Amino acid sequence: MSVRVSVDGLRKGFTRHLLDGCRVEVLRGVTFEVAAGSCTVITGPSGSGKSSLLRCVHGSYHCDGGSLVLRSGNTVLDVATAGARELIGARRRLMSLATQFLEAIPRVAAVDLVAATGVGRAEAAGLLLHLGLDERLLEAPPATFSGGERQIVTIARTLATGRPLLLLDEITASLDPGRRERVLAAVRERKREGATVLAVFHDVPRLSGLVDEVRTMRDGALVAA
Amino acid sequence: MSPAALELRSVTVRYGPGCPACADADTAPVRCARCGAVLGCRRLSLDVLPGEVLGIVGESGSGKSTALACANLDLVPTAGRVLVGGDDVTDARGGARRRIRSDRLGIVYQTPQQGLDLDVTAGGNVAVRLLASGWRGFDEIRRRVLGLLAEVELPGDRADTPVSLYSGGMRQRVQLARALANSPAVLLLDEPTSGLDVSVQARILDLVRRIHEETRMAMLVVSHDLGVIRTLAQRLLVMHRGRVVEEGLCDQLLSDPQHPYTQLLVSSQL
Repeated sequence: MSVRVSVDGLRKGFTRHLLDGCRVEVLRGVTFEVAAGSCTVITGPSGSGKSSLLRCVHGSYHCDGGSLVLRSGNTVLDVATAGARELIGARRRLMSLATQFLEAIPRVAAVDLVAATGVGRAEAAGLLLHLGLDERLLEAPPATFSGGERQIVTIARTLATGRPLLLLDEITASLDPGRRERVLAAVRERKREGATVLAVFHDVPRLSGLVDEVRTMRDGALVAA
Repeated sequence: MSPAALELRSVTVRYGPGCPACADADTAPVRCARCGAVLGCRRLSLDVLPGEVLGIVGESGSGKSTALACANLDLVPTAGRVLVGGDDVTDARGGARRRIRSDRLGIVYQTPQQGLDLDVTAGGNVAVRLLASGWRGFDEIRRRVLGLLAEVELPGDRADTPVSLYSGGMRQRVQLARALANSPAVLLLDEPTSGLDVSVQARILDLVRRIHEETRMAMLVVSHDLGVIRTLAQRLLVMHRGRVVEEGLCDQLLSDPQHPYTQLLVSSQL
């Protein structure tokens, strides 16, 4: 099962009540489509709204206007207007977000964090090792891991869910070139299996068979590349 | 759809006599200047479906513990209804109320003194709960008690030690074992890790998470600690001065708070 993402006129801003209600617009009517089973990369300078866009798709940010529709089989969900329980259900079935930062549960070992997505421990361990985590770290909680090691745990968790829409936010920012290649190859593998990928990268990954479309954002809007 | 495991419908709690000046919960001040009555919460509505974990955050005095006390039938609301598993239990009194609390609800209080008799052994504290639900055979009760203590990672050989000799974290585990004794439909957690050091706090949270994963029990967690809520809850209510000022997905509220008070709360997090 694949997911098609249709974003139409999406607007998002932040009202900073602690700064006298100052308003910051971060998405100004964004419209684009990600075909089922394809990979779209959003790129652009820092602060252009890339991560906010991804968080709106995931429902971690409220949307102020426009629509953000996910279609998969008989399921049609407008994330922009969905209620909390609908979003919880959609996340469980359809999508998984990997960010640059791991929000780990204290005391839980890396392998168990990945296994908690529903895969067995052996499969979780295999995935972590495949992505380049040191075997000695499998049974350790990631609280003391380096940024790159944490990132591998985050990516492994996202890939392990097997959900058909992968939302990836700068997932290779802390990785060395070798591990970066491994991670991108694993994402390409999930895409080959049918997953839709919407990813934010500063530099568009050069890996054949991964990226279908590149969109550039500037000041909260998509611009011609 | 199955009924909510727990539901509060437009619940208002007024501490004190009340007077015409504070009769309207929507407009009355938190503390009435004329009669001195205090509004604990006003027109609070929430529901927790089976398998869900709902969090309530807010500063001290925001009304979150009042909400929990109503849910546990410790307090009778001034107005509004309390439903457990779809049954209206607002007016339950005496034996009926004790049975609901014993069989369908479990609670872990902020301080162990509220939930345990410290002079009684850990096993005794848990067994009381079973006895209240009609368990009678000694061997059967003993087996269940030891099983529950093991479930909350307490050594069985400490079952006959008075709780007063336990550490803070162990006392919270005994409360948890007692709350789980009758496999309640709803587990209520009132600041379950308050006052514990961070490593003990993490172990208690880990334990609650594991219990939720294994039992899919509905849970209502009250805390002023956003870390606790983020670890346990899927949905979240933010309370301020007795009202719900914002509600939604936990990560949404913490990463994109809309209400001024929620923004203040999130920005104050250490």
